[in-house]
Amino acid sequence: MPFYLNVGYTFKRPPVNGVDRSVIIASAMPMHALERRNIDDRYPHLEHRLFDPQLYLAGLGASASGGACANLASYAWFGVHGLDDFDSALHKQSGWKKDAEKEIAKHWPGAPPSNPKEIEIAAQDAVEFQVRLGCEAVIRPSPLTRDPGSDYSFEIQWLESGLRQAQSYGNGLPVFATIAIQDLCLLAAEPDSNPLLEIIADSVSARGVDGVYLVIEQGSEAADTRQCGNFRVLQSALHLTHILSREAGIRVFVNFLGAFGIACVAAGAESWASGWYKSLYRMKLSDKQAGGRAFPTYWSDGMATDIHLQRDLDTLASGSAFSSVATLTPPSAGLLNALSRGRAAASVPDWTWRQSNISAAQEHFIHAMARFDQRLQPLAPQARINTVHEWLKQANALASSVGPQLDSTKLSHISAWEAAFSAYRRDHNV
Amino acid sequence: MLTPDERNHLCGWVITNDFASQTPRDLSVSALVKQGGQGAVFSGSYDGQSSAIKVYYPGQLDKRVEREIDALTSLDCPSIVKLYWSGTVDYDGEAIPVTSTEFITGSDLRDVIDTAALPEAAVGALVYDVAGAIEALWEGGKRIVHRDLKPDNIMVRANGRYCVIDLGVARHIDEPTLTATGSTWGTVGYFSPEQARARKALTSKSDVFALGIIAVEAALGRHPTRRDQRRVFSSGMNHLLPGLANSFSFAPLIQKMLSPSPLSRPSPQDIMGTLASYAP
Repeated sequence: MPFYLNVGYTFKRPPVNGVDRSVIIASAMPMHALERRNIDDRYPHLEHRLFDPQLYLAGLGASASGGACANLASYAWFGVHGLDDFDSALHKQSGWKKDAEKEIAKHWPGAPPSNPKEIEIAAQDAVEFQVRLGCEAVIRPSPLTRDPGSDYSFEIQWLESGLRQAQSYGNGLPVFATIAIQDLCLLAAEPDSNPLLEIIADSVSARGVDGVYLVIEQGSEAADTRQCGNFRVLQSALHLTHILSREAGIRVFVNFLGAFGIACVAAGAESWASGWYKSLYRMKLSDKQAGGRAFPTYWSDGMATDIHLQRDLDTLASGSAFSSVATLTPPSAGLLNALSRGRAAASVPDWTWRQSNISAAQEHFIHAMARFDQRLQPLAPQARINTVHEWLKQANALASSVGPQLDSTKLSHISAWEAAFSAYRRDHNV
Repeated sequence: MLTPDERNHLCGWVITNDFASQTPRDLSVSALVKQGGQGAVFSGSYDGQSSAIKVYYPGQLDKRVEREIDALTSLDCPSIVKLYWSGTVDYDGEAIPVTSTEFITGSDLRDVIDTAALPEAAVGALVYDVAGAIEALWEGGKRIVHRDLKPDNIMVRANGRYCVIDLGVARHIDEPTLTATGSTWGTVGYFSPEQARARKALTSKSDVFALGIIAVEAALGRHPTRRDQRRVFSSGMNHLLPGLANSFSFAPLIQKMLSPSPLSRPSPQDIMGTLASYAP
């Protein structure tokens, strides 16, 4: 199970070589909309699929994130009562959504079900839905861990229910236990002396799950970047991945850490997922609020960042380091060709910096991620570590050398990625 | 905490008809065997079979205790003492728990070790049997951690096999008050690192650590650090076992059981798999 694409509401997309695996996320659309899609025949990237039940979003605020909450409310495991069920004889999908968004603040509980009977039923619903959807594994829902001093008992309650239900209704599919942690829980301690991480890893691995599905909510990250740049959070992600995969011997799937998922693969993750949109790239509760439109960026493997198309790409293209910055993919071939001839990025229509003109940028990123993953997968564990570390060191060096010329490209995460990976190697002697 | 006089009063009361009237008719108490820290043990019978009857001193009882006693009732593991009956009796207006278990003819491991160190084959059988008990407590959704494994809580049956007694029931009864003061339940010298930190959500890996200490103790004929808990963690036994224990063919397994990280310790199933040749 290598690179997975996070998919949102829109399933239709051009094929990308090697991308036949996706994660469908609950907040992207209501349950009835998802159930009515003919997934099997139409979408090659969904040939192998997982479904993230996203119970960790149960704490969203309905007034600020009404759209996402309305979608989530349609899934039984959120325990929302009072909204009309979708009935195709009575509703159009858009009409249902509009009404649900109006009403959701009255009904959204703002917390996951906590009654043991409700948890058991919710866990069963989540398992049965994933089996019905044709998923290749069951992702068992978990609440978000928000308290650094948590004894994890509430999450264990969900875990136990999920395991029981998966055994009864999971159709023999592998079971992945969600570990969803708010980044605040990771900031105060070195990962190997953070008692919460030990409790989580021990509690989950001792219960015989096939794997874990790791999500870190990045509430402390800035709104104007999609990259996780906190050294301690990144170090904790690598640590948790390492101890679960290499020490406990269970499969690890890392989602919503964007391109840093590549580093997690080197630390032992079997699979990782990302999407291009900020809401599919990282997990930050406030990203679920409505508003904001996407602008295109140019992903650079060499610099491990998104380069600002309007303000910085032309500057870089005229410099001597551009060969290290450029990442050639089919969707970016025309852009790189134009830049090599001295033309501006804005002269290439698919890459003009304009709101919602993001198709090429999105495809380019997905091609780049899939290719990087394909490069990494065949390597032995130590070779993966060396390859990723070399990538991050070079990206950091490149960012340091060209950074002063740049205006709007976000660079601060790059040194954090490199430092976290170095610390991981040192801490675990790998 | 009961005074010695209060304990004696309770023990005297257990022998009376007042106590008997609150227990099943097929349970009878004949004599006091010993008084411990949490309760008193009596000999007697249950349904015609010899039984050890433990009466706990007054303490707290919550839903979780009831649930876990129910789980124990359903256990059928040869290396765990069989629970015949459990319930509560009213003593001076307070509900106190009572358990009736199989009466094991044999010696406790403490007495055996105090006499002589165990040979490799006996240690192998000990670790195999007790790992089976840890597994039986944890698996099948029971998720019970004994938390107080030590030689005093392991009996050696007449056939040379090992059996865990005490069942950890006391741990559940005492937990609410102890955790309120940041303490933990168990015995110094056998704590896993996470148990020593008073972590509440322990797993079977914590019992695996205690079993590792017991194995070394059995091989040496004495506790490896004279019950100095700090030295248990700093002695490096996860790399090199002391004395003869290090020459045992399964020494690497015991070392792993003593890993500071619970994730690095083998599961009870792994232990039984490695030591399959010591199965009964």
